[in-house]
Amino acid sequence: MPYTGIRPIAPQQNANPDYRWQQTKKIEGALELGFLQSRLNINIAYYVNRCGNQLTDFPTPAFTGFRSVAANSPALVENIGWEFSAGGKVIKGKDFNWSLNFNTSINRNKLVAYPDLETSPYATVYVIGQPLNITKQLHFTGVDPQTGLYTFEDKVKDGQISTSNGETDDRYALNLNPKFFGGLSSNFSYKQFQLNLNFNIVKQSGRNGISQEGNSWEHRGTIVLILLIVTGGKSQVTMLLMRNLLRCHLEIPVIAII
Amino acid sequence: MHSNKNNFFLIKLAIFVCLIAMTASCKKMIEAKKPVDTITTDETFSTTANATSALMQVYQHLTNGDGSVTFGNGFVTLATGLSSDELNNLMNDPNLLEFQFNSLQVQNSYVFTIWYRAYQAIYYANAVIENVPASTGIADTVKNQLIGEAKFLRALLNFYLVNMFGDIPHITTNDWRKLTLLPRTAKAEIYQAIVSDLEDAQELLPADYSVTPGQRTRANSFAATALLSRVYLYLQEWSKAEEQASVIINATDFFVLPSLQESFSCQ
Repeated sequence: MPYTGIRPIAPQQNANPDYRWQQTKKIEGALELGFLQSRLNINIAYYVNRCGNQLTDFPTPAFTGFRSVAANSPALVENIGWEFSAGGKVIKGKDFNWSLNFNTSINRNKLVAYPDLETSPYATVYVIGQPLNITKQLHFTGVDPQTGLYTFEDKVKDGQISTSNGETDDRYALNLNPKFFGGLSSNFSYKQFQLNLNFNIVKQSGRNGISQEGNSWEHRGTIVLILLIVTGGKSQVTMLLMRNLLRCHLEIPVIAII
Repeated sequence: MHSNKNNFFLIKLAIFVCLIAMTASCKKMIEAKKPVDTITTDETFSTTANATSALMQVYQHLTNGDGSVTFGNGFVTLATGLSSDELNNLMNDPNLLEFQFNSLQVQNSYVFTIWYRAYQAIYYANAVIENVPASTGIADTVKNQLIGEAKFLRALLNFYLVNMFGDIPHITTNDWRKLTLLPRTAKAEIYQAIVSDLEDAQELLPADYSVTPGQRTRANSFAATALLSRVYLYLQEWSKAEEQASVIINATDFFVLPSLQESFSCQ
């Protein structure tokens, strides 16, 4: 909108003269084997990637005039993994063919270095030596039957439950990345007809999808909802329960309300 | 057989040469070009028109509000009026109730809006103060005008911020790399900076309305004097406040102020 008839010019973003391209160094070793005139193929690969100076929207305090700036992340991130696949034609006939393929990969992500992490915007989010995709949570040790409040493990044994960053932090860093994932695909073909079947398998920790904050807890194998009337105090505590969800078959949960 | 081998070799050589030629131009492919829809800071402050437009952004930001009542176009009156019992909240807005009952919560969105909009305006003012002096395409008189107005506006913004938030980060540059870990500065120092900015503005700005004939839409030396008088009042420096106020009162060519008796008359 013009002011006194003059159209204003507004800054769009903070300038960053140090902005540069990110660098990734990769090394990979792979082995490809074929047996029985390529009726059975096996691939094994191992890779190590290191990525630095990633291009990010770096958060800046509001008093700098903008909430973020295009900057290079000082983080050095490492990805290491194995990839394995095997497949072959089980039945190879004139009209009918059946081939099976199986693959899986195991990846590990790690924050190798982050200079000045404690004074960066990610001080409470990242931990050096852990993956980037983590969540820091207290270890829940049950509901106190006397008070009805939640109890947590005092990891550092200082008599207090603390969630502030630093040495008094009682939280564990929980990895949300999959431990492994893979798939199996099965191909049948008869003359012009084809049937494809795909199965996926993932082993991963995740947030308990049906828990409500502060109102329920989950026991391995069964899901139990406790309706708790919390009067003041710890009702503000956010609680996430990490359970290993092995999602390779349908699991019907048992729900009981106490 | 022999010619086949020769051909094959020539094809491989041709492909090899092509690949080499492609990598030579790779460097150009990864260099970013200048943007087409925005101009750089240097360009903005290279001409009088653009630099004036950059200054106008401060005024516009404070008066426009993007369609709502926010910092600069009434929200401070609203918030401080609610806090001090001048106003009663009848709107269905819990955030406003927090102002009225003096129970401001950390997540109150209006508080952040005041803070952020004020510092955005300071950024726009600092852009002028930082970049205009070194510009080669602007006349000196215009430079003084632009810097004077920007300093007045920066002082005004700091004045509101320090009164609402106490100790605040003192921003005098737009280089975010120097600012990210900036702590709060004590109120007394901020006030010193405000007074210094206003004194500069008084010197740089004309004591008339020559820049905006017939209108009072941009700061001039009187605006700086009036604000300085108010600042001295808040600092409880009574004689200096009186001195500055007298400058305005005595400028009868421009201001015909009613007398105290007239202003508070019961008739």
